Amino acid sequence: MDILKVRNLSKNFGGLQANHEISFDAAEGEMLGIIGPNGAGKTTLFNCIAGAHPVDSGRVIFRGREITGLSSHSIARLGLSRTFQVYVASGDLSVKENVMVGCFMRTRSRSDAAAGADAILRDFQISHLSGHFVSELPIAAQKRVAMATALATGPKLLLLDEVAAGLNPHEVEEITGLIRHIHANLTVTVILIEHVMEMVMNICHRIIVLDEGKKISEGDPRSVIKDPAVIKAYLGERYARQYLQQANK
Amino acid sequence: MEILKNIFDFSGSPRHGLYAAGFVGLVLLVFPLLPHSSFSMSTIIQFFMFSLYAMGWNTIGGFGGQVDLGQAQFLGIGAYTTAVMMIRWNTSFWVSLPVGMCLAMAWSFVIGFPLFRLRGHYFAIASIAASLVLKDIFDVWRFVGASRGLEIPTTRYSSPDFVHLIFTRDAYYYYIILGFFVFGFFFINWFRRSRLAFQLRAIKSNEDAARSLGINVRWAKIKTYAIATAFVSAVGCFHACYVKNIETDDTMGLDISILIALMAMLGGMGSLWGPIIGAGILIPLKIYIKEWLGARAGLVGLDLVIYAAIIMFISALEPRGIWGIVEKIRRRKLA
Repeated sequence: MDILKVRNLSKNFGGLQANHEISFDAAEGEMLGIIGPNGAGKTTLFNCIAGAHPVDSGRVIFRGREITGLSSHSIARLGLSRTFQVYVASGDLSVKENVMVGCFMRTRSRSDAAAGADAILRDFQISHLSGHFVSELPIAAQKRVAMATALATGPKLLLLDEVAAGLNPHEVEEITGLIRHIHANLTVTVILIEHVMEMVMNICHRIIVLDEGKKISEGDPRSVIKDPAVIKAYLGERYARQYLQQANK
Repeated sequence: MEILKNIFDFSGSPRHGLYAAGFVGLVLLVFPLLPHSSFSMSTIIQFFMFSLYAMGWNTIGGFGGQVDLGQAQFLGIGAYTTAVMMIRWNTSFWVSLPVGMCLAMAWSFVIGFPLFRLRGHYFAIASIAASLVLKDIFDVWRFVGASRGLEIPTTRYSSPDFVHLIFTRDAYYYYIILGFFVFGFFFINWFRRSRLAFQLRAIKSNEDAARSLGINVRWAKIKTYAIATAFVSAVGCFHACYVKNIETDDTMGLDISILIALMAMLGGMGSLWGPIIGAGILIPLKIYIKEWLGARAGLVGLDLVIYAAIIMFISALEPRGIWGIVEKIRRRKLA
């Protein structure tokens, strides 16, 4: 069963073609990676799927239902949640309160929301931070809070926009483990935009490559990385060679 | 049950502060029985009224971050509804109160839909414009007395008249507005933990992120605007019976809107105690300046100078107001 179908999606900003006729499917339970150089239209694609931008043409179908043109809060309520590339820290809310806002999508009761938030914070191993303001935290913890908040809405599909950006290798490893954990234990389908190739190659079942607003390649990680178009547009000869050598050892 | 628990749950406020507030509350409860001047009596009544205005403003402005500078229009709608109904049809205050609140809330929906398409400064400016337009309409509308305003004929009623809220002794007004105040205070104590308050705070920090969490941003703002309006218009109805002389300048002027917003900002936006602290400082100050300069106060514009200085002071030092300073000290102690 495909949880998400994107068909011929196009989006222009003035003269700039951010997304051009992009089509892809995401199967239920899949971990799908989206890669591509800066300005390839990855975040725009997320914004179009999640309803933050109106699309110019094309369709988005989520769990068998057309969601093109719906407002982003209605799409969120259908079970599609996302994080933002630049997580704007909410100076006014503590970590727990942030996660509670997510929980409040499914419940009206404060004690239910508080209990839900506590459970998620424990699961994410950030219970000790619950009283802090998000703006006071280091970036790795902020990304965890962003993911926890998005998950608190109880999504079926989670869009993660560069959650590993700005993290050191150790932190990348941790957050990779966390994504695996979410994916396995909460039965959430995950689509992630990422520049950290180690992470993408490690955890994604399938990869889509965008360049200049177009989909230039799609497939399992090992075949995508050998695709000449991908090497030319994004990876570069040296990385591809290194990676393949390592993989062959 | 959970609602009841939340209404009376004051966790998060400092314990010593709660004792102090309890003590002040007790003093205020017996104040009319103590020897007092009519001057201090009217000061405290005004303090209650403006605390309630600021509490209402605090829901949309403090929690939601939508700096509204047009609350006076709702005060005016409440005051004029009560005055008109009382003068023309001799209606009871307790009937005109819900009617005034409903009219004001209906008006808040009418202007809320277009206003909340705007963000930030544009919203603030548009809210001023909406308020001033309504004031101009009332200034020429014969039905509501146009620019001469309305006067409730007190001779028609024999004090104390609890149906029409006409008293010769201020102590009656005092206890009625105290009742409003207690009700409003506990309502806000419930509200600040409600789902809506959490959603508003998320909206305040980032609207796009709030939307992605399933929050209907515009509808949340409009709902909250109606709550703010309910507070302001209810006290506006009381204002009519208390002051008895209703003019657009006293009820719908921009200076009142600014004063309401300023109280919440000075005391601390988005907190339970902020509006009360703000009103507790600004109302005595305002009345004192008026006494000191007499009729010249308006001409000199000293009150505006002081308000402007306070705005600059808050935004430079601590945008979260006096309550923000208190919180900061508490967090430092805990850490």
